Amino acid sequence: MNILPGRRVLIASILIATFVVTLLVVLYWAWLDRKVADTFETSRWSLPAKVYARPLELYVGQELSTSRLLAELVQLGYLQTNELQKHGQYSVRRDSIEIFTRGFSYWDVPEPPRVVSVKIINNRVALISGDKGDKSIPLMRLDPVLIGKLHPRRFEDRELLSFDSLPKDFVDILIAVEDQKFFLHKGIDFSAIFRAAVNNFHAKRYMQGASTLTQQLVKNFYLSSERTLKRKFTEILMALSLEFRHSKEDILEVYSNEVFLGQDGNRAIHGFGLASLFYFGKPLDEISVPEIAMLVGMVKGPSIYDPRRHPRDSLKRRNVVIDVMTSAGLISALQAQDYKNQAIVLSQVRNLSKKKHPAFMNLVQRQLQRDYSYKDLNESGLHIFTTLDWHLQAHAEKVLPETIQAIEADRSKRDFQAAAVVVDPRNGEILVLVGDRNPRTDGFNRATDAIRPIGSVIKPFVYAYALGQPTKYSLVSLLNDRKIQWTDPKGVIWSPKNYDGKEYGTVTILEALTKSLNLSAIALGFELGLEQIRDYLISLGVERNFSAVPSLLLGSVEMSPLKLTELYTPLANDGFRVPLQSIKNVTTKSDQEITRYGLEMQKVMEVETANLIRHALMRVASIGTARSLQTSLPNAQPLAGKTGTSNDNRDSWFVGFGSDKLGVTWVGRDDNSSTGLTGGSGALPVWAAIMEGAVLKPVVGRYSSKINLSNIDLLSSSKIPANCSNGELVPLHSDSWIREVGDCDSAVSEGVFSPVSSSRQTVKQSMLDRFKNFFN
Amino acid sequence: MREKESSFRRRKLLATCTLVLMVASCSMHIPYVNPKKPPPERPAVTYDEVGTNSSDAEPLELSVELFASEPEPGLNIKSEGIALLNNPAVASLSALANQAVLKKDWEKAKSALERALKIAPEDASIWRRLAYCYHQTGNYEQALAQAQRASSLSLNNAREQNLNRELIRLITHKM
Repeated sequence: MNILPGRRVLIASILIATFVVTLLVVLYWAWLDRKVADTFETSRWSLPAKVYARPLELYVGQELSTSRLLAELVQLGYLQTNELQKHGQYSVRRDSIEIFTRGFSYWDVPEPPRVVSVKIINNRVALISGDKGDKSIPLMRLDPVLIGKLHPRRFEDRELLSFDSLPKDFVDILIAVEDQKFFLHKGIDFSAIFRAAVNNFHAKRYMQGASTLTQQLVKNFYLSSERTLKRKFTEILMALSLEFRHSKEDILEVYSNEVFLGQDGNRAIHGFGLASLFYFGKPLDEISVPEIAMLVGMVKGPSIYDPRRHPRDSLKRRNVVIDVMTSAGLISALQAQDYKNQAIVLSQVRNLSKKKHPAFMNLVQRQLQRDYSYKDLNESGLHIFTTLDWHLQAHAEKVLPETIQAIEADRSKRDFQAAAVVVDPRNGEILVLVGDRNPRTDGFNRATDAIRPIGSVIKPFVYAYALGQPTKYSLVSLLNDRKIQWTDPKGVIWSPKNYDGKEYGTVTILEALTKSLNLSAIALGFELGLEQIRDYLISLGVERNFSAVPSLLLGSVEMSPLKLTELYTPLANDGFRVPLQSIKNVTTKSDQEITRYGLEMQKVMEVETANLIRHALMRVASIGTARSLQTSLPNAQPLAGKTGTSNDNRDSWFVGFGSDKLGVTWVGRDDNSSTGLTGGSGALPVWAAIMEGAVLKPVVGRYSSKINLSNIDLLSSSKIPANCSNGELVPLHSDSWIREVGDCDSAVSEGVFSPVSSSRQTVKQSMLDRFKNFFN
Repeated sequence: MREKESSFRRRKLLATCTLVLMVASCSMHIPYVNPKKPPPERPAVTYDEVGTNSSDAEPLELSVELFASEPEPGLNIKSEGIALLNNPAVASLSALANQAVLKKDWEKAKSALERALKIAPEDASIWRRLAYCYHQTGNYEQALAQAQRASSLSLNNAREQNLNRELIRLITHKM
């Protein structure tokens, strides 16, 4: 090997080494630059889907109390002020409520932010007026209440904000505190590095960083948090690349959405937009300057300055930020003092990572999983608009546990469970869903999954099958309420009784349903045919396999509260069955509608049949097994309802409706043991307690033109003159036959048992034939 | 349950154009267009295309009226099952539905009508118009159910009854 003189070797070596190092650095930089270009530009955060309750519509003539409107505003985080200055505020005037609405991009008509004045007189909206000359606004919506998000087990959550929507105060404070020369430097701030180095040298330890916002963003975005020279070097190169490729506005926007600002269970709070909602319950552009100062202060240490866990440290840090603002010339010393005197008021609503209304959310999730992929639901930031009435739901979640506790205490029993469903029977929208006596428990959802025998709540459908044949049956057709005994093919003897053990002899259908008589229902069921009744129930939408056995007539068929609610929709709705819905619309994160779940229905029984049964159920709720509603809900009368109790008092049911709400409640035990409750003593009080919180409208007694109201003597099942006081107005189908008597008393004295029509006699005959085989 | 735009709709677009313009004439909220003179560049509507029996000339005229949002002149506006003119909120949604129908945006029309039904659930004319939209999107089963619902809410209103009867006849013809 040829040896060159020492100096030349040295120079050559240095040159080569410098070249190689420079090349490596350039290559490394190019590689980093590529990484920055690829990921920063295409970076899309995965956003959980947002689930909203149904928005509060406001229109003239609407039934709405002032307290209900205020509850909505409070839930939405609107701030009460004397003078409206920006959106998200309201003010209570002597005769109206003024609201500066936030506006919302609804799927059909976007709702603009605006100042409106809502005048409510006697619990009715009398006038909605705008400030800009629109004298009267016919209809508007507030923004919807967010009830939850759909997300993976552990997740990052953020509320994306564009640079334009960042408040100026916020940008000023952030820059003053984190990076004063942000708009001047090219990604790194050499003077700050020098200053930090000097300070650190004096302190002989690492005290102060000199990271620009760009460097911080690079660190958060691409790098680990270790403090090594190599990482710092990489950070600087990437920061330069980022600055070269992107505008200051873009960098600030991404920074503001990326920065970590707290932990909420399994949910990581990222970005100032979400942090503002999480800590103050208001969007970033609605919080005050001291509140902004607090959030900006948290960047330094989200957990040590967490205002919930460390209120004093957080307050101290906020005041430091206010001092920085003063020295940066943003505010005067006087203003600073004023800001420092303001207390931190945190939002009470927290821990969104835990499901707020688990039963309802699970139902929503179940439906969504049928129609959307996991990625769509958990990552693409969909907006899900549901049917939930959050206010009534919150009321139900409060009163259901209380009522169950009271019932247990009353009977010295325990371990009762409960479920409740409330829907609008006219459109099938699910307003309330509770699946556990502790409504916040995210576990077994009894409203959707507890499949239990429904007891006597089946009876209206047995009678509906009969009344669907108006030439044979009417509400005043007579039934034979007598004990029977039946041995099934296996030799098991079945001898049902009425709940009170009595026999009532000859009774009308109306009376049998009012008193929920078992023996009458069985007599009628045998007369109609068990197979036919089973087929009829299937035509009404009963899904589960069940056989045509006699116990079917007393409700041995099993259903969930939700399915039972749907089964009842035609009775509340002139014979139209309405499938229940929990979701109305799904839109993308940019508010484009993807799916609309429209109103659907199906005519499953004649209007007249539904009208007649509705009348009988109104009688149940006024003088029958549900008459206690008269005292518990005096202002909503008349209502319709039916109690149900399964064998050995295992399940207590109540189904009831007004014209705008249909509800089902269930009380029982998970181990299926007896509760000792009837439908009237368990489920009914729960139902009444929930409905007390609703604006429940009475049943409207509108009848088909084929129905006439007649004065009937129920004992003899005869039509008597209209002026007789012993009669009762009963709706009758014009095709039904009715015995007419000329004076008030002769019908009773005759005491006859006469079939409604001759055709019925043949049916009766065949029933007797069947019985011959049944009896021992 | 899930409702999406169907290619079916596009095929019917031209045919329904004329129809829709005529609908406009029935409404107080959209500009007047003479129903008897459809724009010349649009092909003549044949009865088959609007979903009626081609041998029957009557249904075309009726189907135009089937989306009418206004009662006949001189009719008592407080007729059974019509809340429309008594409530400005319903009227504004009705106008929204009319605009959507003009643009053949049936989903938006349905959405507005459903919203109106929450305010006036007993308004038979809204149910009928909803049925009309379902008919236009080819969901005849739902169209029939909604028309029946409209019918059940207007038992003593002869005009609504007639319109519904006609609509039901059209729908069942398609089923």
